[in-house]
Amino acid sequence: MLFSSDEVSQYITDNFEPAWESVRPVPLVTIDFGNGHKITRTLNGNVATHVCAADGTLLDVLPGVYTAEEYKRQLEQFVLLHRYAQLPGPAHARLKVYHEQQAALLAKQKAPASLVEVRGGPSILGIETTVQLVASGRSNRGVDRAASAAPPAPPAEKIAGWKELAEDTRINESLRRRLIHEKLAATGKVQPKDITKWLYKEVLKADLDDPHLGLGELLNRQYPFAAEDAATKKK
Amino acid sequence: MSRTRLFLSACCAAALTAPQKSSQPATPAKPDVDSVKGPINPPVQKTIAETAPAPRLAMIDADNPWVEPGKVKWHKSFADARKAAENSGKPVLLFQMMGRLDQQFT
Repeated sequence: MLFSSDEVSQYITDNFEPAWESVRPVPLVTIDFGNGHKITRTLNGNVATHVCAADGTLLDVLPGVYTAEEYKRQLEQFVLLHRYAQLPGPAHARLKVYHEQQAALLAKQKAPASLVEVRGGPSILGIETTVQLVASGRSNRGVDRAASAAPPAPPAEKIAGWKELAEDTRINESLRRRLIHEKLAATGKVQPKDITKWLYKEVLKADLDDPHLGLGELLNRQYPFAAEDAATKKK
Repeated sequence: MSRTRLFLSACCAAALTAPQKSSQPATPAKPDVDSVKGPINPPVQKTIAETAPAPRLAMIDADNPWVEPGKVKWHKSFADARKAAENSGKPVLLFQMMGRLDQQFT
């Protein structure tokens, strides 16, 4: 998937110090057809990409899965965000304003502001560059952004999965990012572990404290033997 | 007693009292008594499986076999990545997920 892409993988390796961690085992569904054939699928996997400073301070989060092109674009923004946080002055205040501004734009269905590198003034080291947050002024209509972010349509047999990924990207960049910006604007200096449970429950809709990850009601709603199974378990 | 006899007597006495390494079998060392017998208990195995990114484990689950975790050069832990970031000046990227990046189904 994402990390099988040469472009994405190389960009991560060159520009970040990357690590991965598991928040819990993934739920699997295995159907045994009784004739030696089995199918195994994941039930509800969900991911989050955090960018942090070296001291572990959380700068921003990408929720869920993205198309490779949009994911790389967001990673480029993360690199600039890290530089932005290191500009002279109190980093926490600057990040708070960043998250508040992004949340406000997304709430109005406008595209979030982008971090851009601009030439600064001359110095003894030469011409320096700095990072600025620039509002795009564009609408954040999901269809337009997903269409511009998505690669050319794949062959017909894979188009359903591609459409799903493009839709996931759209939802991630609108609703889910807004929730994250609002949270990070409100919290003080935090590390990823401080918001993991909130992130999975409120943003990714997979409550880590729920043994059924919020799917119990859905799975049991029309299951005809739910009462019988519950009675058997009690025994 | 002559010096020669005295010398020979001393040699015999030394030979008789020296440890007989070659003629007696070595006393086997007492084995460490390990109170945990049998395979690793399931809760411990589960903890190892869930701790990421642990070194590659051979077939944790037959339904979810081991795979390469992409082409990124991952640090072993968030803490390791942070230490590297202190030296390199790069930001830390932490990828969180359900399941493991080195398993087929995630």
